[in-house]
Amino acid sequence: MTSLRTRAISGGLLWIVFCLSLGALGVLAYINNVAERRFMSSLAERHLQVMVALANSGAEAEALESYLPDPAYRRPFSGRYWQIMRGDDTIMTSQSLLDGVLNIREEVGEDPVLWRGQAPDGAPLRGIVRTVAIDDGPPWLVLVAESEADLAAEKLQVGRSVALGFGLLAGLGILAAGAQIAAVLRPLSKLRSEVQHRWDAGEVMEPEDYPAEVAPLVQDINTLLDRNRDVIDRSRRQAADLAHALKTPSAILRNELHALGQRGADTAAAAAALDRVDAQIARSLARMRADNSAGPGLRPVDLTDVANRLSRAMRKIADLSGKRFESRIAPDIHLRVDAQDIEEIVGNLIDNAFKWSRQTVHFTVRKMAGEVWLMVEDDGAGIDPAQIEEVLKSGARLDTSKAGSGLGLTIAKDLVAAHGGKLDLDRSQVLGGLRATCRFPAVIA
Amino acid sequence: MRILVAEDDAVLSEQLRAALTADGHAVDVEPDGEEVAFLGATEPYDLVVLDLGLPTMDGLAILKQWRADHVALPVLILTARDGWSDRVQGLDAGADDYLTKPFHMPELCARVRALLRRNSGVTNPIFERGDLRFDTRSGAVTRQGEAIRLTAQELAVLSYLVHNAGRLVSRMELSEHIYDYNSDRDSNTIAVFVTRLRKKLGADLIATTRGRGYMIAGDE
Repeated sequence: MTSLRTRAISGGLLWIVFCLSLGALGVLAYINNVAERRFMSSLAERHLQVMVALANSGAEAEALESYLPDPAYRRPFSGRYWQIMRGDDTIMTSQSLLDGVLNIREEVGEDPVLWRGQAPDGAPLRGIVRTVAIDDGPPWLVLVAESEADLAAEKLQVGRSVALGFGLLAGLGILAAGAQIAAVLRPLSKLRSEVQHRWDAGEVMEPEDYPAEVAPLVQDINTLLDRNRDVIDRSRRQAADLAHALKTPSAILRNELHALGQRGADTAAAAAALDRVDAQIARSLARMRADNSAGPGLRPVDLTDVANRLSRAMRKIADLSGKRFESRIAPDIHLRVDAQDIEEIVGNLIDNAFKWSRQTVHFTVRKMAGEVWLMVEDDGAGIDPAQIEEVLKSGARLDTSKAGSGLGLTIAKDLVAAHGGKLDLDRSQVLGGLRATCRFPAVIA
Repeated sequence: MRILVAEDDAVLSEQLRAALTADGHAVDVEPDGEEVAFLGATEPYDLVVLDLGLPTMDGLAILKQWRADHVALPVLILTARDGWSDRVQGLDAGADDYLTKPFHMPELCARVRALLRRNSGVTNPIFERGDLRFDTRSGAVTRQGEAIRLTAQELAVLSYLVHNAGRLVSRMELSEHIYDYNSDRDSNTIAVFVTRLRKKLGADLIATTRGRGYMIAGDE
């Protein structure tokens, strides 16, 4: 779909061009009309002057010329001419015609008639011709003509001026339209940048901060975000309720089996079946969690804070199991993830590390080339690089000598992936055991 | 040692009571959250097994309230919430250990013993005096390598005195920690248990200060 800006700009441009063209044509037509009328009235005036001169001079050529003082009548091919004829033998002309004669073909009476012809130099002429009787002699044919070149030049000059004026007007109009479009679209651009910014800052967008046309959209976005968080929260609560509903009875069954076993009954098959049920529950709940992660609109969390809290809890667990736990957490790290998911990821990784470590587990959080790294290292035996693929498969257990569902690393991997990150397993350079590194794209503050 | 089991599932709480009693502890069971909060703050428990999903008051809220009121008793959280987030929250709110359902009862008993030991500053799980050997992890008592059978009450008295070795323990205190809430607390019977312990384990193990109480000597 075409952008609003393109639509507004092209629509505005078309409208401006249409309106101004129409205006320019109108103004041009009016000005041409005025020039034309002025030309004709000046021509009529000159014709009258010539007729008066003819009457006053008694048709004497020299006297006649003295009555017509306009120097243009004397300058050769000046564009202004007069010509007076009686019959075919008497003909007087202005000196501007030199020895040329204007050709009159029309039947001419006492009413002035429009004449068109050519000057001796070829210029198009327009004139007025009529007959007039002076005293009782035969009528005189009086023609006064003027070159149309000046009129055409004037029309051209006016046309240029009008075009320039309207061009300027069009430029101003386009600038104004551009400014107006920018002003109208600013709330939309603002909305876009604010959606990003406020997600980052974890603020709510206030519909009142936007124009009436955009406010409902802001309201809708807010509703959508809220609903999204609600759905995730509800799914998690349901998962927690389901966990509670299934795990307490499972614990009861396990204890009964244990008691029966102590009384000598063979409960191995039943216990194994119960193990499978428990593992399936754990797997399903983990999958539900991963599926409900990383919905749009997650606010960045203070990862430093989350990691410090985790470290405090892990130190307690380490103390209980007689292990050493050290953490190095960089300050001011933010990540667009769910805090609970981070606790789930790191909790599983550290739990796994405790299980396999001889003595020491390290937890590191730092920024690395535009990424945030969460690293858990232990001093256990590590994993053979050839088996890394295998160990990340759901429920795969390389070593069954220790208790566990074998889900920890898989859960961590799924959750990391759900947040757009990556989980790498390799050998720890420092401790020699397994190193699990979660890499997430850093949030630009 | 006296333990409060805060668990709202009746069957599970009875299983816990049976297992912990067999381990030599006096056990009270309470399913109601507010009641648990009250009992923990007023009764001299040595440990609480706390379920997070209790009616009327959430386990985490109870724990936070205790810690805010400087109630320092050890708390083992036992819950169906298996997320690390809940675990971290629980430990950060002041829990000492965390076990998720479904759990193995022997593991729970071991964690309870470990917490009790840690809380009373006993670093070595094996208590030895002369030819007497008491394994606080299993409750097994041997003298000159031979196993000695103790009744639950005898074990409870021995265990409490060992966990408080080097400190004079009054009969009243002893009765508060070896009897559950519903028992008839007859402090005179304590004297009977002590006499039987002396007979089984040797006369000089438990010293009596007349009118004040009993003491097992601490490590030199």
